[in-house]
Amino acid sequence: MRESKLWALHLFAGGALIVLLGVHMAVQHYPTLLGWLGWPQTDVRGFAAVAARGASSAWAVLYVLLLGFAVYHGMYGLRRVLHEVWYSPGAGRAIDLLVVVAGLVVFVYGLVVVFQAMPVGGAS
Amino acid sequence: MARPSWTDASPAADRQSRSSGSPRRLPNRLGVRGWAYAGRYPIERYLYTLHRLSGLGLVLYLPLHVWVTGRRLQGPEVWARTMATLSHPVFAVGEMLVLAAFVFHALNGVRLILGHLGYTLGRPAEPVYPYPVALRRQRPLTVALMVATAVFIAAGLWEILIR
Repeated sequence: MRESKLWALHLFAGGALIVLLGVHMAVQHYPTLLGWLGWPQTDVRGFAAVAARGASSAWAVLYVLLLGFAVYHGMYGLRRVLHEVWYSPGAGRAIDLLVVVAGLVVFVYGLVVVFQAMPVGGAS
Repeated sequence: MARPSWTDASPAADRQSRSSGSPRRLPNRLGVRGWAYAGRYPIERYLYTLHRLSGLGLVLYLPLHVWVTGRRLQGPEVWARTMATLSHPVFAVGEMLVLAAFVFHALNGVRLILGHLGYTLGRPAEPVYPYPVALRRQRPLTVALMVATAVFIAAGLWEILIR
């Protein structure tokens, strides 16, 4: 894929993350403020709440999208910084390989965590 | 004919790279030092540096966060132990840093996305003195976003402290 397309996707992923990660961070880190807006007050980190979110298809979709966009946006950003700091054709190929492998490992493990938590997948 | 080195920015190498169709690449002489200082930087240049640092911090945090989230698969006891460990003040400070990094990166990212897409910088204009500066046109948005960043970070820190 051409570099300009990879960059455009990085930009799109950044925009999507502002929304998706914004929802995740609001629920996890601003419970009191959300409570003032009428969001039900629960212990968001208690096992019951975590398991309930894990069993929900809507949350699963949000987390998979969040994971995918976060891994892509993060790894592409890391790649751009590394390319700038160490540049030679050999280093460039090594950096590309590194970010693809690291990104795939995190993405696949993240998918396992999301789907194992669902009732059809296993654990809870 | 030998291919030009990626670090060779001599005129001959430049001509060769142009004729071969490969993109011109100049040496990054300052390296990481250039993130901090290379002359009179405007505020946006320091926001760029902070954007990179916060982004690198968030990238390093991502696999750790996925791993911690995966602990829930081992049941309520393991999850409770993990949460107890993470309630240590050291991790609370780390959580504050992650929150601040996210809020800054997201809101500064709004400015960058708008700028990259050609918004907020003004239309191209004839350079008549006093020259219009695109970053100066964007400055009110920059200030508004940084005020919003400070407010969201303060609210997030307050939420962590009262938890």
